Order: sequence, then C-alpha cells, then structure tokens
Amino acid sequence: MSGLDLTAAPGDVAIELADDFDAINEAFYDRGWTDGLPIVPPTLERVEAMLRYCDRPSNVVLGQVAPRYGAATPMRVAANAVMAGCRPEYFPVLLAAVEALVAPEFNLYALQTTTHQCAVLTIVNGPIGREIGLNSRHNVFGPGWRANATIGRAVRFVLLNIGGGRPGESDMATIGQPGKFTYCIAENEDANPWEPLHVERGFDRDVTTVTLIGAEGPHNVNDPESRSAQGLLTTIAGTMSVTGANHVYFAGEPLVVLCPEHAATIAREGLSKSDVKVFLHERARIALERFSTENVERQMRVKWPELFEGTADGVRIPLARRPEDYVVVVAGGVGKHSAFIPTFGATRSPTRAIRLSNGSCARSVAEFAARG
Amino acid sequence: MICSDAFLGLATAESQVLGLPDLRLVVIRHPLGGLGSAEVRARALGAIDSVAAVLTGSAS
Repeated sequence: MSGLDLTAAPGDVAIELADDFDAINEAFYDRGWTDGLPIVPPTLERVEAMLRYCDRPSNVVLGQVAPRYGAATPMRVAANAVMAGCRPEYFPVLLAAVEALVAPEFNLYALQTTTHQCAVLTIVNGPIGREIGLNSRHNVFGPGWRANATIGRAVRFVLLNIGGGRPGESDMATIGQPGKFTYCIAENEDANPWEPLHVERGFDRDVTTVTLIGAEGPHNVNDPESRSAQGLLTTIAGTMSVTGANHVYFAGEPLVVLCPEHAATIAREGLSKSDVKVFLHERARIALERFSTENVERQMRVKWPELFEGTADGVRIPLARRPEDYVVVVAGGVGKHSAFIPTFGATRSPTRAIRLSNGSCARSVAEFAARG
Repeated sequence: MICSDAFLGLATAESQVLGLPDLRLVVIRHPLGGLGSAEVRARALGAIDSVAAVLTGSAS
C-alpha cells in the first residue's frame, strides 16, 4: 500500500474471490454488475492506481445517483472505472461526468427509468481530452479509441452499479440502444469554425469540461452536394424533421454534430453558430399532417396551444422551444456526414469543468497525479 | 401512488429507497399510454375503490 486514502464509505464491503479472471467475470456477471461484456477485475491495486488521479478523499460523496440514489464516492467510481477498462489518467474526466450526472437539470431519475431508449452521451471539450487521447475525428462515435470506449462504458457502470439502473428492473427502456454500452466523444475543436461548446457555455478555452446529453442514437446526415449554407442546413433540417423522436413530445435540446467539412461550408458564408440554431429552429419543423390524429389531439394541441390559435391549417411543429435550445458541436473526420441526435426531451445538458479539490480548473491530468 | 403493473417493481424499490417502505401502491393494468378516453376512464373506475381505501386508511 502506498499510503493513499482508501477509506471506504458506509455500506461498502470488500469481496474476496479466487484470483481467476474467468471466475471473477462469472461472479460479477451473475450479480448483475456488468454490461454483459467481460470486465477488468477491480482489485485493490487497480482501484488505488485510479485514485492517484483524484485529490479528494476516497469516501467523499460526489452525489446520489438515481434511481436507487447510491452514493457516488471516488472509491466506488474508481472500481467501476477499472471494470470498464479505463486507464487511471482518464479518472478526472469520469469524476466530472459523475458531477454532471447528478445535476438536477439533467433529470437522471427520468433518464434512468424511462421506457425511452436514451443513453448518456458524454461530450468532452478542452485540453485534457486531447491529453488522454479522446477521439474527436474519424469514426468519432465508433470503436477504436480506448479513452472514448472505456470512459463511456464507465459512465454506464456508474449508472448501473451506483445508480442501480438495472435493465428490466429500474431501467425500463423498451428497446434501449447500443449507446448504452458506451457513448463518449470529444469535440473536434481544431476543425470548429465557431466557439466550441464549453466556450459557448462560459468556460475558458483551456478549461476541460464534460457535457452530458440524454440522447438517442446518431442519425446520419449525408449531403455531398450542397455547397451553400442554406442548402446544407436545408438537408440537415429535413433529416431532423421526424415525428417519432422523443423531444417532439417534450421541450428538448436537439443535438446536431456537424462534421468539419459541413461546418466549414456553413461558416464560410459568415454564419455564426447562433445563426445555425435560428435556421434549424425555423426550418426543422414537422407539418401537422405527418402526425397521427391522436398525436395531434392529445400531444401537439396540449404542448403547443399557441400554434393552434385560430386555424390549424399550416401548423408546423418545432423540435424545441427556442433556437438557444439546439446544441451544435463539431466532430468527425473528412467526408460529408454529420449527425442529428434527438434527446430524451425532459432533460437539460449539464456542463462541468474538471477541477482540483481547491476549485481551480485542471489544465492537465498531471496536476492530479502530483497531488494525489 | 398509482402505478401500472409493469412498473410495480420499480415503484416498490423506489418507495423503499426514498424511505417510504409502507407507501401504499395502487396497481392498474399496463399499459396506460395509447388508450382511448373510455379505456382510461375504465382504468380509473377500476382503481377508484382502492384509491379511496388508501386515502381513508381502510386498505389492508
């Protein structure tokens, strides 16, 4: 032992299993502690290595994770991070994600227990994402990068093992989606012609932040032909104008992930990110006749009474309440494929900075290693 | 609290987690969503005696 603080929180118990990878995996799977894939056994040594990148006491409560409101302590989060395959230097990102998970506006109880398919999408901005090798470019939502794959998986393990979001018991998703295994990207800030998400939300560019979105899966927007901002945004708005996405029924924050080439096409005409949001709010609307009669009467008329004053002729349903509610980020590699990601709807995306325990923003994970 | 039978497990677990292990749950048949007004009314009528019993303390 190195002298690190490994104080357990009340209720924590150590379990002893035979030093056998297969047996440990069977035991964890049988207890419902995994996502069905093999885990890395969270031995004390591995948990200790993870905690070297945390400068807070290992038993301090970071928040209560719905729906079972388990206490998220660094120790518990570290065990889940080890299980997910995280390298220790990823840990500060995960802790910021946990702080965001319990933000009231995220509405985690509803996200965890809904029949909707939503997963927790983690978006990282700032230098630490680049330092630990988070992918923001080619195949950004796909496999191949350990930081993306394991941080997203660790968030899911926190939801499962600390929050108690067990499929079919308290996670009531009707069909779920693959993003519930892992769903983590970094914004491609180098290719972003506008301010990145964290700067838009009031943080300095050299601060690293984690933003969480209760999200459906990405829907591709392929537009290889449009050379004008209006043309491209028309394609994107058309892709977004679908009737069954969850935020149609709530007041959501529709997410658009622009690939660098699409972002450049739009920006070279001088449009700002705010202009993009205004365009999408005006044009990504759904004609009333595309909804079923029942949905018009029992949902749209209730949600948008102001749109039905007078005649219903020509009513087009927006995806959000205000242009500011749209979230626009830039990610991906070369090519002309962007993504539209509907959200759960009854949720707002929190952003949290990676901070040291003294409140200052960390510029490098080495700052944690030096203090831990 | 009223819940549909498909959510009884979640409701029971939540009542315990939130410190209300004795919370009386009135269970209706799942689903409630997608029903017409007449069917919703029938669900309500089917549950009303149980709700009244819980509110008046006469439920077993």
